[in-house]
Amino acid sequence: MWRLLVASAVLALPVALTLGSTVHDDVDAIREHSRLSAVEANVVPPFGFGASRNVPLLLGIRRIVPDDASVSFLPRGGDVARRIFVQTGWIRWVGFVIVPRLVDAGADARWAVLVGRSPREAGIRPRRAWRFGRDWLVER
Amino acid sequence: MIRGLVGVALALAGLVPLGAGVLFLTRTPFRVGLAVFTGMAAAMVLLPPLVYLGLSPSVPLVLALGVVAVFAGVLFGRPRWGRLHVEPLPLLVLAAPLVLLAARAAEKPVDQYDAFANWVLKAKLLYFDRGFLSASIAPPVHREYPLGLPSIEAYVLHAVGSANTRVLHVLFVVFLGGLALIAWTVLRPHVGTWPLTAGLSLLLWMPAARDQALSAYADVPLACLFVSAVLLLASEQIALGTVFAAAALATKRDAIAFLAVLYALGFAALLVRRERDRLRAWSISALCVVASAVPWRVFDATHDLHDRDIKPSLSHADQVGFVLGRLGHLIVERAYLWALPIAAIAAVVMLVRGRDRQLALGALALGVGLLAALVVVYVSGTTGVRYLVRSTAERTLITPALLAAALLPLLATRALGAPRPPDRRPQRSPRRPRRGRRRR
Repeated sequence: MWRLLVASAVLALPVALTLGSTVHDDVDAIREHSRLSAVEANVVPPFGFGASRNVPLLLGIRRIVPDDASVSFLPRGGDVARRIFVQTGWIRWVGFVIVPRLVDAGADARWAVLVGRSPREAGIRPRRAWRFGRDWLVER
Repeated sequence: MIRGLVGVALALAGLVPLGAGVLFLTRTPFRVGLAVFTGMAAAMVLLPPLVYLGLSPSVPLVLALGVVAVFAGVLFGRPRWGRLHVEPLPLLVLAAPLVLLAARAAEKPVDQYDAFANWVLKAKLLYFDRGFLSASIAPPVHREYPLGLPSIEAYVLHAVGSANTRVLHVLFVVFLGGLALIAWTVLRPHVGTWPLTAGLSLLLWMPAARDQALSAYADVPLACLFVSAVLLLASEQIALGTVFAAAALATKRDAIAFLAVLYALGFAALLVRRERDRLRAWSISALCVVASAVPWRVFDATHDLHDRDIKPSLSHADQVGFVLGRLGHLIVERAYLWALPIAAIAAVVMLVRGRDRQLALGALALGVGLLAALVVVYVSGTTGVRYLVRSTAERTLITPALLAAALLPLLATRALGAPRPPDRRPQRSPRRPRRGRRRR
């Protein structure tokens, strides 16, 4: 019998040493998650993403762009800059948030985001355009 | 949130027919919890090929698979009903960490990089029936990965009725619960109630497992399925173990290395012990696991999806010391509750004292083999060994850690020479069966 007790104690010891902090962390996380609004939880990015971060743009894409559409992202610097930009963490977050819309790695989607520039600066004459901070969403 | 939780519960209930069919086919006694976890494993194997064929991982599809599985099980298997034997206090002790984790999971946002760039993003795209194979689509990353996890997540989203990726985290708690259930079922005949409860508490309260489960990455599901496969194969439930091994392979590529170690050790043990009659069963099992990966590999090959981050070579062999050092550092971290060192000490004590040496050797060999497999994979990395190890080692170590935690109750009781629990199965008398008689 004592051997069973010793075995149980050996196995329970690591749990006993950490249980308090584990439960504390869980309770803190539950409290933190429950305070988040839908936008904070589903749209606001978990990381900074520097100057690329633009939450109003994400909300705008979700509101304006049809579900079955794709969106191109057109930063300054032509094709090379675009290819680099669509591989950034920010664009991966954008891709996650705007599903079922897709991020088009190319430049020719009907819907496009002009990154850090206006349609005139990009030389584009859009059918419709919306400004979100330093970025513009355009329909071509 | 309530609607989401109801959806997750409905999704799990919808997996019962598929799980039941697989249990019938594998001649395993039916229990509801086991049917749910088996249904998850089977769905992760069966859904990806159907997704490749253009079908959506929807609720009707999973129910249809369940109907087919139950019919096949009744026709070709052996439906058996397991005895319901609930031990209330251990159940409460083991439910507590899962309930708390589920509460933490229910409203957790997707906030980890690979979750939104890869795993959950694929699940959302599958849920909305949006193809993501074209190179013209920017994210998700790693399209060459198997689709077992995103497929079952998309199925759960269908049951929830929306792309509620917050409540989806509850699914990962079910993986941990499923592993605890399998470990209890397999080990209970060999380990007393309280050492087993204490050992599985260690597994369920392990901070690394809890945090990583809610990262929505594939590492904890892989670990739970792989360790379940190990326990089932070791307890000679080869057919059911094969389903879980195939599910592990459908979850993440790491399973290739882990399963290679598991089957190599299994074959080696059978050859050393000259149990040639069991070689056939293990060979068929290995073939089935390999065959389950054929649709994935063919699909990747035909769509020009290649693994670019791992390329087996010895060119980084000089980094072995760094990899071992990093893994060694993690192994003794409190986040893993020292499961690996305690299990290793218990196995060594068993060897020294001559108690159940085959079990001790098997556990040590499997643990060392899994760590060696990780080292080989890391030194074969093409993106820089140190970067790869620093960014992923704490996740890949979860499989050996959960294996050690699951085996700990058995190893600790054997090392201490604790008595085995009395066999509760009714003894069959060749002359006159008597109800309630126990074998002592």
